[in-house]
Amino acid sequence: MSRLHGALRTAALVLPLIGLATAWAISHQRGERGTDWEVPVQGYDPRDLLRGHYLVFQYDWPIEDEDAVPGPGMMLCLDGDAPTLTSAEVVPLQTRCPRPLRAAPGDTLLAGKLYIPQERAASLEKQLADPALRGIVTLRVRENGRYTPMGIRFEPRPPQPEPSAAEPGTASATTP
Amino acid sequence: MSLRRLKAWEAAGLVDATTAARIREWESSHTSPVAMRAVIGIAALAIGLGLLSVIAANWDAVPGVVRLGVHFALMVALALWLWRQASTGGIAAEAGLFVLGMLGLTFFGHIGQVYQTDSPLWQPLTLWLVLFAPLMLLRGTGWLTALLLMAVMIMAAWTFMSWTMGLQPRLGAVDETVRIVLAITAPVLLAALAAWAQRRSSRQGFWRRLAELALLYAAGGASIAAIASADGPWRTDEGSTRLLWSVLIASGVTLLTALLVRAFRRDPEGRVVADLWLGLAAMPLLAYALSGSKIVAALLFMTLWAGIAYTALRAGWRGAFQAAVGIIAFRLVLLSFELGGDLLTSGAGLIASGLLILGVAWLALKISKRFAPPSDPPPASSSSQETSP
Repeated sequence: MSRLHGALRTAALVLPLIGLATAWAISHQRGERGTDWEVPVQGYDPRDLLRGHYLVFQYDWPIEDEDAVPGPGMMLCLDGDAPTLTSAEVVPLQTRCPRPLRAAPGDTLLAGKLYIPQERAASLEKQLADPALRGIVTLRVRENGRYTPMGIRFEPRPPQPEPSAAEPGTASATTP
Repeated sequence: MSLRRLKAWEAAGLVDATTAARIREWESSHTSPVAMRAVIGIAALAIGLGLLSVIAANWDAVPGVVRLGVHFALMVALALWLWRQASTGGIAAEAGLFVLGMLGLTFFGHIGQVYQTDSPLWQPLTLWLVLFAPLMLLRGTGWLTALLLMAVMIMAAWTFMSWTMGLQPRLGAVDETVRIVLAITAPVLLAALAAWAQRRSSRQGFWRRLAELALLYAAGGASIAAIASADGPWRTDEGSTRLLWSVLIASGVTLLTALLVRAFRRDPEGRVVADLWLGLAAMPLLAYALSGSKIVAALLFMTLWAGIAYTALRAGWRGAFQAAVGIIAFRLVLLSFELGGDLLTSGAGLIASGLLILGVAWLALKISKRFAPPSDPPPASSSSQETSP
């Protein structure tokens, strides 16, 4: 009994180490695998781009059907030559397609967040709010459609046909 | 100790000269270098803070894998150190176990930062419970680890609730309720586990604390049920089916705990505690049946805490008894305002309510002084009293 007890007590010390190492290995492997896609984004709300160390943004999916929203119960089928995303189609969750993208349960495809280093926070926030620039987030998408935001870069915003699209007020007006 | 006191006692004839001389001699050979220790302590603190700030300033410059590696190596080192400790442990081992648990908890967040993964909070908390609960249950010796285990379990349950309720598409109504209430009432069962282990284990302090925390959690839940029963009646509520399920499950899990505590603990205190658990199990059902009246809800609440006070009296828990009397007095004062809301609008009403508060406070003080059990807890634990319900 006491020998068994001692063995259990030792096993109890080893179990968390093995478990955490496994969790780490799985995250590491997942982080390496998958296809990278570049998705344009915009600031979530001019007053609250940064929450703690997270940069918060809204995805600007190139969806052709203007009424389609990738909300709850929906997913996206991506099209293009990775990492260049040419279009995305909103379809119900269980649809099969070659390059699916689904949000995790309780998460949304409308917005995302990215953990960023403290000293880059201020400049990233400024760039995201700059109407002349467009944020591009790289998503690493695994085969089952689950994805991880990997990083963000900025490029000059292409000229828009509507003049109002680049005004800073638009971002907050379209916030759900 | 200050030797000035000794001189005064010697002068007053309380201590004779030879004893005083012996005390002085003993004191001089046993002095601890307080100033030296303080200097060392401050220096260690400064070095520690300096190291922390150097690491923090360069945190983002260190590659993620290296950071995780250091974090993991710390846990391995701590686990090794704990493994080499004597089986009974001590304060240091208890603190080490707590730190190991916290390092494990933050490791999940750290992985999330490095790999940009994002999962609902209840998932890492539940995984932590799977990995670390056996460790805490097999090696915990005091309230630190008991509190950590209980807190993570409760947090996992409540974050699971908020995640489930925000889920789209939603689960079926009853299905969702059953899962949520089972998760939320599960921590209560730790009391049954503690009752089983208390007789078999040499780590009395840990199991006692765990049982107390579970009881405190259940008393909090029963209080919420009593307070919520002011609205209603729950029978006619649009979510009455879900409410009934919640009530039945909460009562069922608490009843199971009561029966297990009764079966495992044969000592007098154990029997008293099992009775209290039975009362707690009845609370959700009573709240459901009697819901819809402010006064009945207040009476229900006060009955609950009177029951707790009575249990404390029988079991000899001084702090718990006084706390329960205080809570009843507070509820009584609140009730007087609820019943006579216009008391506060006139001068005479204000005077009357002030007198009432004074009266209730005086009575509560009298009762808790007169009837509270003596402050020395009978056997075992070198405990503080306020945490001993």
